[in-house]
This record gives sequence, C-alpha cells and structure tokens, in this order.
Amino acid sequence: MGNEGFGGWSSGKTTKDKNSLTKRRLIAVLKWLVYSIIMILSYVLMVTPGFLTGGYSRPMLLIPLTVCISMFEGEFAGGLFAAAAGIFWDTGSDAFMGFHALILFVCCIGCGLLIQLLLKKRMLSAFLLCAAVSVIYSGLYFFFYFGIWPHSGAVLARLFLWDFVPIIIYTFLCTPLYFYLVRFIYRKIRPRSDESPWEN
Amino acid sequence: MVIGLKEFFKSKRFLILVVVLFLIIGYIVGAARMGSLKGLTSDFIGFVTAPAKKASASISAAGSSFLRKFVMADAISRENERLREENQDLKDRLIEYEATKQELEELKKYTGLQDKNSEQVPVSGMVIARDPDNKYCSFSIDVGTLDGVKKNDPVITSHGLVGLVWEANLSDSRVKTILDPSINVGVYSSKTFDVGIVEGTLEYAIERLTKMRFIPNESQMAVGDTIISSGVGGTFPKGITVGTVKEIGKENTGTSKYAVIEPAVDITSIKEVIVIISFRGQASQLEEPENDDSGADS
Repeated sequence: MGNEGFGGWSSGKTTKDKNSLTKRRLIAVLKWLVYSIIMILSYVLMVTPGFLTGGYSRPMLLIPLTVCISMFEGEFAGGLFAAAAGIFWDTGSDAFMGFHALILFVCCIGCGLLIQLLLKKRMLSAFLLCAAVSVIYSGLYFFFYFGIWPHSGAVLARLFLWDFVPIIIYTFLCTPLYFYLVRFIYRKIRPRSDESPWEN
Repeated sequence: MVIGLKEFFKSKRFLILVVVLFLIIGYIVGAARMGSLKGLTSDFIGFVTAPAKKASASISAAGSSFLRKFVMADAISRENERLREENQDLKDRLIEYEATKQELEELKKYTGLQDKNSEQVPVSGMVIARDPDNKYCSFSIDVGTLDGVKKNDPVITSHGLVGLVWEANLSDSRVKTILDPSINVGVYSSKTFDVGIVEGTLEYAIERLTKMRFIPNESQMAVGDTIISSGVGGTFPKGITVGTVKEIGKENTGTSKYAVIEPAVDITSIKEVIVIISFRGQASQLEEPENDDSGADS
C-alpha cells in the first residue's frame, strides 16, 4: 500500500535487499496502523454525544481525514482506506449499508488523482478538496434521503440551509487539524525511497 | 495530464480499484437483501468500538456537566426558581394523590387487579453515539442482544417515551425516536381521552417536535394537554407519557384535526435510557391463533 509499490520483485535478491524489504514493509504496516487508530478515534469522536456540537451541527471528521490521507498516500491506498472508513461510518448511520463507503471511496480516488496531476500537497488544496467532498456527500445524502421524497420546498430549503450547510462548514474548519496530522505521520513514518505511484 | 491519466487507466492499481468498486456495490446489494450481512458487520464494528464510544460519551457528559455550571449560570438560576414553584405545586397535588392512591389500593384488594407496570422488564442503557447527519435524532445505546434487547423494544426515560430499538447488535443497539416518520405510536389525551397516532414528520422534526394525527373534529383537546401511549398495537406499553400539546390545527382534508406535540423527553440531550424488553401486551409475546380447518362446531 501507499507509495511503496505494488507487484513482483526480481529473484536473486541479496540478504541486505531482503532486510530492507522487510523493514520497509514493517514501516508501512506501522504507518497504516497509526492511520487506522486515528480513523477509529475520529469516528468515535464524530459520534460522541455532546462533543464538538455547535447547535445541532457536528463535523464529519472522517471526510477531512480520508481526503488528507488520499492527498499524501495516493489514490490507490487512499481510496481503499476511505472505503474502510466509510464502512465504519455506515454502521453508526441510518443510511443504507455501503453508502458512505462508496462515496468516500470514489471521492478519495478523485482527490488522489487531482493531487498527482493538478494540485500540490498544500493546505489550500486540502481546503478545496475537503469542501468539495463535503458538498458532494451532503448533496447526495440530502437528495436520496429528503429530496426525492414528498416534502415541501420550504421545509427542504430550511433543512439544507440550517442543518446541512453548518455541517459542511464545520467539517471544512476541521481540515487544518487533519492536514498537519497526516502530513506529520507521512513525513515521519515512511521508507527512505518512494516509487512511482502507478508502477505495475 | 492526458499521458498521466492514460498510464493510470492502464495500471494494475486501476483494475484493483474497479474490482473493489464492484465489491462495494455487491456489498450494498447484499446488505439490502440479507439483513444478516449488515448485522455481522455492525456486530463486529460495534464490538470493537463500543468501549471507546462508552468512554468518550462518559467523558463528554462529565465535561458538559462541568462547563454547564459556568456557561449557563443565569439560565440555571431561572430554572431553579421555576422548579421551586413547580415543586410546591406538586407537593400540593401529592397530598391529593396519596388519598386517591389509598382508595385505589383498597379497591384493588376487592377486585384482585394486578399492577400492570410490575410486569415490565427494564434494561438500562447509556447513549454512546449520535449520527452527525441524522435529522430525527436517532442514537446508539450500549446494550444489545447479549442484554436481552431485541428489535422493536420500546425505549423510555423516567420522563416519558423516547422511541424504539430499530437494530439490535450483540453489544449495542440503534434507537429510532418518536420524531422519525417510520415510528407510529397509538396515543390518547389524558384530559379528553381522544385517541390518535403520533407520527413524526420532517417539518416538525427539524424543531424537535412531532405530530399527532387523526384526532376527531369534535375533540376538545387543548394546548397543554398531556399525551399518553394507549398500548394499541402492542409495540409500546400503555400509560407512557409521550408529550404535551403545543398547537392544534385542522388537516387539509378537513376530516380530522392534528396536534403538534412537544416530546416529554429532551431527545437531543438524553444520556441514559431504559429499554423495556418485556411488558404485558407486547406484540411479540402474543401467540398467533392457529388456523382451524376442521370448520363446523361439534
């Protein structure tokens, strides 16, 4: 996973190469273990009653986390991790199982690709991507759970403006925390050499 | 940019991501068709995260209580004054209640009536999680099938009805509240005894209220009346306070009235609840009558 490459290795490796490989794999396991612990903690904090509650709004902490991981670790690892985070979110949500997993998976692959091709790993990019994913997620949730059902336009407008928009803003404001945290982990726990992200 | 994307679409990683995408879609379909698949996932993740959720909820509750003293000092002072007056009123009523109760006890001795509430089996639970984007205030509690909780068990507090268990996992359960449109409660007014159904709507759920429907046009219900569960249907026990009437209006059809109900329980801030896993008249306990094909009386 991550940028350590995926695929076969040539035979006839020396002992030094094998030790290096083992060390790199251990570092990768450690890094993803740390990410997983942060993911579980973020999920728990996200659903904790009374924590980070502003009015009736609460941030969707898994969105900035998975977006920032995709920024630094690439679309492949970031997408898979986002799918796992989405499954966690699904178990505590009223949405159908797999809803959050699918959205986070697709969006984080897109974020990873945008970073590889167009954007740089900067705070501004994190803000933009996190805002975009929050809006996409909230829009889809609003559409499927409220928009297509027979509610009056006034109620829907009020719901979106007074419930969904504050959540999007609140989520957006949590981006710096996760950007710096993920960047710190990415820089501190990584092998010395990075390979091309699309090496077969 | 075009060259980069072409390389990506030709890479093994892209194929793996496509496979994972289909797996997720398959999982969605499988979970929708087989409730057991969702239950397995929820059981596992709930088992792993329940201790952390409990600890986090406890810390959050303690912190909120501590901060509340300073942030809401004025409000607490006003509430204290209001409660003093209410307390005095309740003391006066208690005297009358004790007399009525004694009379009732005497009557029970003669008629042999049992206390129906003594047949309720409660399990207490703590609220450990709330979904950030749920508009009907559903939440998770730290008791599940291992504690005897099952789907459709009613959930209450000492103040009144909260909702019912919608999904029971091994160590935790999801609760839907009476603000949710999928929850219907048979109720009646404590003053006029007019019956109706409490059914949540999105419009009122935004304001943390619910709606009582199918009230007869000739009803004399008024603002301030207390709404009690009637026990009809066997989902909720009889006699649980549901809420207070805030507003009364006429349905668009003109055939009945509706009332806007303020729940007796502050659903957004409750921290502990009681799940009634067994009660007299519970629908799941009623045996279905056997079909008798023999027909004629002897």
